Amino acid sequence: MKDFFYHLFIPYHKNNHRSKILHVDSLLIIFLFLLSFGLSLIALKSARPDILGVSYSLSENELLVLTNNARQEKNLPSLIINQELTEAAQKKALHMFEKDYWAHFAPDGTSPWDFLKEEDYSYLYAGENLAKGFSNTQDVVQAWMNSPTHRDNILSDKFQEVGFAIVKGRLKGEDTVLIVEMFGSQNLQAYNVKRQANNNLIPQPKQNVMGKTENNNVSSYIPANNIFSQPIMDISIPSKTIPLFVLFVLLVVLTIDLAVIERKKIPRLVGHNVDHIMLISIFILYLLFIGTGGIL
Amino acid sequence: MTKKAIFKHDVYYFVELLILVVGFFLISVFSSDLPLQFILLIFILLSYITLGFMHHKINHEFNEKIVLEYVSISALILAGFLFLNIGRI
Repeated sequence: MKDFFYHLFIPYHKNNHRSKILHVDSLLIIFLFLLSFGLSLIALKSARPDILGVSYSLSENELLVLTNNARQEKNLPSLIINQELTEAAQKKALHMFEKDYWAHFAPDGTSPWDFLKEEDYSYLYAGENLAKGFSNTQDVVQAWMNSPTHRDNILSDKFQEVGFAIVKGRLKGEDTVLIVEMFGSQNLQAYNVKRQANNNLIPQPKQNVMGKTENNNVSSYIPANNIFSQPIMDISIPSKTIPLFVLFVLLVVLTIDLAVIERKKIPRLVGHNVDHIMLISIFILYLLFIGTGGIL
Repeated sequence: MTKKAIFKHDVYYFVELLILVVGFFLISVFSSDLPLQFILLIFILLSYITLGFMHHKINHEFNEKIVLEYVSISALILAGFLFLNIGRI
């Protein structure tokens, strides 16, 4: 057993002064292992998402609470959920899936404000935050708060109302969850006219306020749009740890191989270990620091 | 190894490092666009293989075994990237 590992990891005369794991045939076996194992996991994920799948815990309630918490820390009034903004956010998310784009402005020229107009939301100020591919609400709000432009929207004193949409679908060949946060404050004159018209036609629905009010009490909730999925195993665990482990082992072996050969000054016709070490190290750093989602 | 040769190697390693750092930085920036990330990775790996070939051809011996080694290491990185994204496919 000891000889086997020595042969695998240390360069000496029996492996032609090149660690066996770095031989092209061994590299090909590792490549085929990663490829076949990855394909098996994809097949299992498709067939049994309850066993192996993406773990999600996203809720509109939590989005509102976290947004309002950030505002309260800056002594700003809480945002109130507005049904028209919520509808506009839902339509924006569905529009991105239907037209397969990820942007504030659609390729056909549709702007975020078009969805507000469609909902008869007469805005004085409006804003939009987008997020994609996050698995929990805290990370979404944290990513927005880390970005100056998104933070400006969350902490703007111009906005009084907000609407959220959390929609799961397939975008650009990728299964993902889109989160849309629409901010607004209404043109008071238009708002009063609309309110008057509503009063004359139908009974005024009770206004729903989610999250914390200014005195930090949760007043009332509307049914929240949640996406919650808890498979037995979250796919992000093997998808990150397995390549990380394989490449880390290769990195260590390449470094040992380089050190031993440099010390013994043995001439050999192989690729530059320094090249491979640089490539693998940078890829490992990428694996370690990569985030899961994106914001716009 | 002469000073000139060391300088040649330094330039080569610097160019390679630059391509790798900028390339993976761009992959991180475009984290929400998987097809673009894949294209960027292919570009990085092709540059890596080409630079490796050039370096060996100019400064060292060059043969089929070296070609296969650079291609195998690149294929492993590609497999690692695909593995990383199995949740998104």
